[in-house]
Amino acid sequence: MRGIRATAVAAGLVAACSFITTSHADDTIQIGAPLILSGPGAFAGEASKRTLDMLAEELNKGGGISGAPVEFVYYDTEGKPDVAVRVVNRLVKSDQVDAVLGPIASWEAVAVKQVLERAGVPTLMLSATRSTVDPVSDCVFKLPADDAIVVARVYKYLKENGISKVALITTQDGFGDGGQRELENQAEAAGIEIVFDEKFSMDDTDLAPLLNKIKRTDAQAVINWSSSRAPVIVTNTFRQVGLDLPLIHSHAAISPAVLEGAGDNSEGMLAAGAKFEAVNDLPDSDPQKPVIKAYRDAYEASFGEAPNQFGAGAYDAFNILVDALKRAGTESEALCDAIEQTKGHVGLGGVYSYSDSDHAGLGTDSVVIYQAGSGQWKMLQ
Amino acid sequence: MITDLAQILITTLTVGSMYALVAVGVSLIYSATGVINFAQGEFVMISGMTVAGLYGQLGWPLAPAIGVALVAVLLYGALLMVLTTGLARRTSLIGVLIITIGASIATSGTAARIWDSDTHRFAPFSGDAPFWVFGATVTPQALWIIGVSTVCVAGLIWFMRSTMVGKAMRACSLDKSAATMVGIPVQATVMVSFLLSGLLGGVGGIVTTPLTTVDAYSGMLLAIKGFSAAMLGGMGSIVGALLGALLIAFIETVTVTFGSSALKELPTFTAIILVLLLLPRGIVGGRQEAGLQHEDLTKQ
Repeated sequence: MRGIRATAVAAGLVAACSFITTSHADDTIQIGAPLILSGPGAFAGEASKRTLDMLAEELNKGGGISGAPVEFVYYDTEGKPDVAVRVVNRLVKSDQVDAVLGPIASWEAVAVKQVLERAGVPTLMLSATRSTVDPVSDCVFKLPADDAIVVARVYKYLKENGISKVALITTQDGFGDGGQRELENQAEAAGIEIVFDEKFSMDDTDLAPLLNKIKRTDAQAVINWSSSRAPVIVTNTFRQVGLDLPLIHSHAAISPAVLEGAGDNSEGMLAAGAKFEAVNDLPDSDPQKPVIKAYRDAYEASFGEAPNQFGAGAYDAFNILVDALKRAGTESEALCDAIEQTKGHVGLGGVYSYSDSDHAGLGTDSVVIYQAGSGQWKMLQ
Repeated sequence: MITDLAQILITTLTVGSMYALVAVGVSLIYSATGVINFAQGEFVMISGMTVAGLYGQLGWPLAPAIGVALVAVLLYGALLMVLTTGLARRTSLIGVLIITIGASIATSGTAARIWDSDTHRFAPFSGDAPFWVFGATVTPQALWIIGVSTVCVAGLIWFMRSTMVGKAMRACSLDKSAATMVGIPVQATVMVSFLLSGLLGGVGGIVTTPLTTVDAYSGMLLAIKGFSAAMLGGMGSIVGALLGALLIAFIETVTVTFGSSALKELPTFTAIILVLLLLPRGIVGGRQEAGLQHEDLTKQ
């Protein structure tokens, strides 16, 4: 009995090995994509997966990268750090992918960073948190605008409008914590005084007591750094308690769902984020305008709905990676160097230029201020 | 100061009413079956999502949307009842409790497939314009929440005390075998308790969604709040669940007003631990020995 089992196991191992070798025998370029495909953040992963499939199909139709087709290996991270670590380990060790695009959530990205660094796999993170590339490591890069540059842009806007005293409310999670840290760190240099600084939790149902406290301060504006449904509740309560101050949200609030949830209360509120949502307000001279427009049209034509900023992040990552692959091939070190040499790449999230000291790639000029009016986000100029 | 007090009062009543609708439901099912139903928050989610979809997005009139939502929670309540009582015969009550947690997760996942994982909300019943009482903000929807919850809980207490079905349910919760002997159909009373709990949660979803918003995953958190409130008040007692809910809401509100929102959970759970240490049966004493009935939980 035991003998039979051992033989079976051995046969299985042989089969597994031969499977791995055959899958690498052809010159397919394999890219791992650990994405959040189920749970509350599934919409983000779904948009990314659709975008990547769309781009890969187009690329492979045109002959791939010097004849080699690109193939994605998708895994669902479920929005959980432990699952993300597990699937990234699998990508690195058993699938032995040539590069990794993802993960999307900040808390996943932070968790998998070490695994990817150790394996030396070229990685383009789709998460916003700056801590994945600060300090810089050889092969890890990131795409979307992060809290550091968004905060800088918000403070610049406030100074231009003569506002120097602000109240901060941030959520008790990775996103809110990151925002709060940047808001506090950059305040002094930007000449902003923080007169109120409190945290709340995503599941708070009534924020009136918290917002009432801001009334008693001499704040000239309120900055809310929260994601998901929190901006909706903040905005509604903000109007209900009769706070008559400018309300500024983070980039997480720039979505149609927030406007729909807040209804008329959203009128006049501000947010800072990438130009991606403002395609119609961009001047024709903006190099990003045609890129954004082409992607939006292609996505809507394929899937019948508007894309979101997460799909946009995947789009930029794919193009930067393909560009580097064309120049350097799949050898890890050469590929990392090629990604690092990306300069002036016009993408959906901004114009990317990496260097050996900056693996985030974007500057404050990629962030614009939005204002909500008649149920739409409009770029403020 | 008077503004603070007025705001504390109004927020406590609003948030307390939301918690109470869930807590009373948890307590009701517990007293009928001995099961702690962690899928209680899903009733709120299902009805909130249904009304948001039909009334908020598809533009149905409010009344039929509410009707569909209530039918949906009744069906879900019946399904849960069949699942839990069917399995209760084969596994321990602890096993059933874990099954309700599983049911909750499965329901969230299914809801995210049926609808989506976005946040939803629909317009308040009587507009958004707040008014002020002693400087405290009161939204019309908050009055709806408080009023509807009061009517529901009062109606339930009357039902349990004054109708034959209600008395039969109380008899069953006191002693199942004795109730069976005098001819009370125990299964039917269990079903009624699940349906009533479902209705309470369903009503909760309908009145609170304009204020709190809803998404496919918001049920579990409510169930935990409701469970804490029911435990604090005395598991198995309706009045206890109500008091527990109001007390938790009060402590949370006071902490946010005079302290920090970040510390909100700390005094709340300290209070729960203290109350259960000093009054193991909860505020109103429940109906048997310590908090949860130990023998019930281990019995096959």
